Amino acid sequence: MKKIPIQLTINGRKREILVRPNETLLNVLRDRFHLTAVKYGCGIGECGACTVLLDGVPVLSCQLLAATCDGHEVVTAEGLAPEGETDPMQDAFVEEGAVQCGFCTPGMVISATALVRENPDPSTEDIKDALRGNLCRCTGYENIIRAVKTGAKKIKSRKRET
Amino acid sequence: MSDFRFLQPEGLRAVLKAKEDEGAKGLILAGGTNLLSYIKKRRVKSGLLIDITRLDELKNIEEGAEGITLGASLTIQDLIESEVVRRRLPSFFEALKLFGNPLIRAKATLGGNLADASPIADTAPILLAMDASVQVASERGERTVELASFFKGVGETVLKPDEVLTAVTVPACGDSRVKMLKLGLRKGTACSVTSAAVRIKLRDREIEDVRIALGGVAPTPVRAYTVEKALLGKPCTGEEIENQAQLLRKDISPITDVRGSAEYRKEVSVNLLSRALLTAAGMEV
Repeated sequence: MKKIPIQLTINGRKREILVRPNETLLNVLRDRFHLTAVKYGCGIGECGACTVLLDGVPVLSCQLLAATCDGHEVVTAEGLAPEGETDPMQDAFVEEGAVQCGFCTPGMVISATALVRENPDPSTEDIKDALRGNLCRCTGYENIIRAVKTGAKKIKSRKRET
Repeated sequence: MSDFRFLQPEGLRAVLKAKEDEGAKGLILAGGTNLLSYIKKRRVKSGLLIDITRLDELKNIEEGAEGITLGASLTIQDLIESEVVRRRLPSFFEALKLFGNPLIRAKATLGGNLADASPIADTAPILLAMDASVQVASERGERTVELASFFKGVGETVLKPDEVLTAVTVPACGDSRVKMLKLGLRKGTACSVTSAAVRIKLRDREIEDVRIALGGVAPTPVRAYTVEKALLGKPCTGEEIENQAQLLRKDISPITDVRGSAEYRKEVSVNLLSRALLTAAGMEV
């Protein structure tokens, strides 16, 4: 198969790569850039474990061909905070015990981050709706919903400080 | 071995040229939420992937005398955010919120949802109830197809191998009332067990006009012509609606699958239809 040259901005860095026509963004992120927070779950757009931000919008990276993302900006859970640090939403997930096996967590954090950017003070219903595409099989969602609320408060108070 | 090529055409004309050359091997890639699953499951192993996501000419929203025309590569999220859709097609707007989940809605397109021809396409029942039509283009020219005659079978439509679905026209519903209900096994990201959409027009408490469409109960989304006919001219009462809705069994041919048995689907779709009709008619359910 003839490869296609594309340019992606991944977690703030410009990257130029060659991709196969049927290569998903998910595989590019994991296999080429070792961004393994992006999880390969169902592979068919049902579980949300592969959620990333594409130009700020949460999308399923298993359902996107890398070639169609040419020129766009991708942020994974690794890119939410500088290397070695965590961001407030990640901290909230840890504090609220919203992580058990952890497989869904990066996708949850990405969807939650996008929600709070649009809606800094989300209700339980807002959170449930925003996370509808992210499945968790361990925690039962209660702690996750609490974590998103806590994360939203942290982000708000951080904004007030700066 | 899979064997794909990739094309990002500059305009619709180049898309149609590619479809003319490739026919069924020309795979229209819009949101990709279905196509990528088919590639992953190896139902589709080769072809020219024609990426139409960047074509602004397929993302127009036009208010015309005949109704609202919606470009085929508008995403479900684009439609939900559209002021025109919210104002002119409020029932369609409400129905769109039943679609998939935010991650899917960000990418899945209106044209893709219809052209994929799934029996449980979430936009199909409501668009059927609203008498929508689709615009189809090829190098040979353009044509309009009533949505009611668009679907042929599971994954099959009247589209010829060189044709592309370019837009959907939804007539403004005037003083008709429209309602869609969807039954899934859970609230989030659920494929429909069955769904029902109705458009009803009343005059002096009589049913002057009615359209009914169901999803998930036949190889394609279907109109319930028997029930429509039976309700015409009838007084709009709860008893009448519940009685005539029983005739739905003649219009549908559900199958048994992981989401429910054929028998269950027959029962539950009659109830769902009654509820949709009663709600649209402004009655207590």
